[in-house]
Amino acid sequence: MRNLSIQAHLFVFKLTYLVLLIGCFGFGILNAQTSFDIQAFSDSTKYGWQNYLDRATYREDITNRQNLLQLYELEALPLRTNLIKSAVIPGWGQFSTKNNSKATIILSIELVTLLGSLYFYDQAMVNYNQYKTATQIDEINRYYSKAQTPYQYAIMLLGLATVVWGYNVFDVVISTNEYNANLWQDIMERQKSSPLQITPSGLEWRF
Amino acid sequence: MQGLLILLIPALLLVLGGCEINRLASAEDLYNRKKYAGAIGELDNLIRIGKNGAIVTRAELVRSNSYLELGRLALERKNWNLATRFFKLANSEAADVELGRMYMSLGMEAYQAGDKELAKLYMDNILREIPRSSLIPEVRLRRISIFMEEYQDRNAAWDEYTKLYDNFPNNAYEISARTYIMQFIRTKIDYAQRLIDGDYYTDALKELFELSKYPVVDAQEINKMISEVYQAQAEEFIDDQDYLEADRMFKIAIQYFPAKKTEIDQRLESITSLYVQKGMSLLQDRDFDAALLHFNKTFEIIPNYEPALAAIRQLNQTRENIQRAAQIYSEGESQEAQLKYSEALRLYNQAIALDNRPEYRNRAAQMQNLIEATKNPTAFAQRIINEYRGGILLSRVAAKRAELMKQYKQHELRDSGWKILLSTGQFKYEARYDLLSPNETFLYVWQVNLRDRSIIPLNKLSEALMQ
Repeated sequence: MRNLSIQAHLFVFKLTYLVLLIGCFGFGILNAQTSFDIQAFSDSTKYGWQNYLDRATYREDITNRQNLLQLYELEALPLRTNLIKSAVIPGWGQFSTKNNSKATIILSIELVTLLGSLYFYDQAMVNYNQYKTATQIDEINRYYSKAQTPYQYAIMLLGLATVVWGYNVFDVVISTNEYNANLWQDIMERQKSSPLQITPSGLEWRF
Repeated sequence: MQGLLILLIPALLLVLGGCEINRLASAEDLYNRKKYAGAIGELDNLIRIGKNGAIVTRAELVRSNSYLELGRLALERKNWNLATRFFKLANSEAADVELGRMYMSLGMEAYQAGDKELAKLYMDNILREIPRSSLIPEVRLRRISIFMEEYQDRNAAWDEYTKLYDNFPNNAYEISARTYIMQFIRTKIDYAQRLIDGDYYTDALKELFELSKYPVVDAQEINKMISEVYQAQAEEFIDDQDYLEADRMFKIAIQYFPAKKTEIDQRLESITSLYVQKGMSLLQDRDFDAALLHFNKTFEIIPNYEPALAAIRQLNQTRENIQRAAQIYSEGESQEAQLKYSEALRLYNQAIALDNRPEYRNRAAQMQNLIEATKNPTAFAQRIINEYRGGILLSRVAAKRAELMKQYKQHELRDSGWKILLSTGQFKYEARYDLLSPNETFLYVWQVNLRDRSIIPLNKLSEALMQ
């Protein structure tokens, strides 16, 4: 009866979650369906370029940035690779993004929980094997109950390991994005302070 | 466990979906599927909220390409206004090329249809919106033709041509444009000639120098005119006796038109004597360097020109005399310090003979005074009084005395006569003359400086007598 009640609550929670997800997508679709104003869409001053000079200034800026994209591509961390890294070894992706403390914590928790789970599972299996070979009813009951507790611990620790792994995967996406965003800023700063400048007209050495 | 996975997987999908790189990929996908407006919408959002500058930059590039494609679509549908807006929004080199082509095509259509004003409007658009376009030379040529054929505005056509040549010399369109300019270039040359004739040399040179830069004039002809302007200016400098500047102008004139060398050389030869005259005048003013410069200038025209050589000899002699005079004068000062006045006077007179400077003359006069003052100071003081302004003091005192004699009897009037007394200070004496009557007293007194023969009245009565 108690199990049924928990399952019902869980079902309601999942349903609410799915409704919210569908609601979000639906809002996006509805939002995209609003009327299209061609005048506003084609307004040549909508990006703040009032005349040729404004456009030329913007163009010079984007050309400079475009020239830096190659550097960025060389140094940036690919999200997919980092995701796979962290999925295989939790914290590996975070190490790549130089978040060493976080990576160490994730890896440590993951190792402790997995090893703990294995340990308790092993304990449970020892008692379980004894339970299976036991012939006396007292022994059967005793070994069974002795196998139950470590098994539950093993399951709990495995669950915790799964949650940490999940968080680790979630976090590596955020970390990689942050790392790449900071990398771009760093490249821009390096470019500004470097005597060798990449300009629309080519390379320029500033004394 | 299953429940946890159900929660984690959509959350991960949401996070991944919200990733800037995935949003960019999504927009690129829309672009590739030619859904440009949708791509632009996505990209605008991404650019607005994006934190990763690299992704934002890539988004801006994709957005630019999307606008470019939209512009091309509008162009296909002959929606010029929309195409223009999209190309401007694309804001790229490729978009500029498309926009320029569109303006040019529309401009040429209007031109051929006879609507030259509209054609010019399109050309103006290219100049204003796409000043770095490769179409600029052609645009400038079209504008020149419109200025000439539609507006008959030669000045505007000339301005346009100068811009065309300055930026694209010997470009095919520039060469074509020359035919339009040749139609009126003669009037510009004639205008420059009128300026020369009116003695507006600076304006004439400005016109001629501008004309000389462009291949639409006969360079030889323009250089000859420039040479004439410099020659005319040289003549003005001769009139003002500024021969060095005249010489400079003549030389510039030859540089611009070497064929005039013989003519100008002859003219210079004819004015060499003027150089010597000017040099002599400068020598009188003791401006030796400038004088020498003028004398030497003549040798560039006539080597070893005898009058100039003689003038230089005179200049050197004068310099030598001046130096010698200064030396003798200095010796005289030293003799004077030793109170050897006669020797000092002799040396000062020698210095004057070599260099007749006022300073030397004054000093010699003072020395003469000192010598006389030393011999007999009272007699010398009396002589100074007697000779003062042609004897004015003596005559006025005598007149005063005669006036009193008319008023009083002789025994009532007491006359002291001239008395010369030693005063305070070296070589200073007092000259007195007293006239006493029963009712009036006239006491005249002056201080006489024997060194410089100056007389100072010592009371108001004496001062009034001197006036």
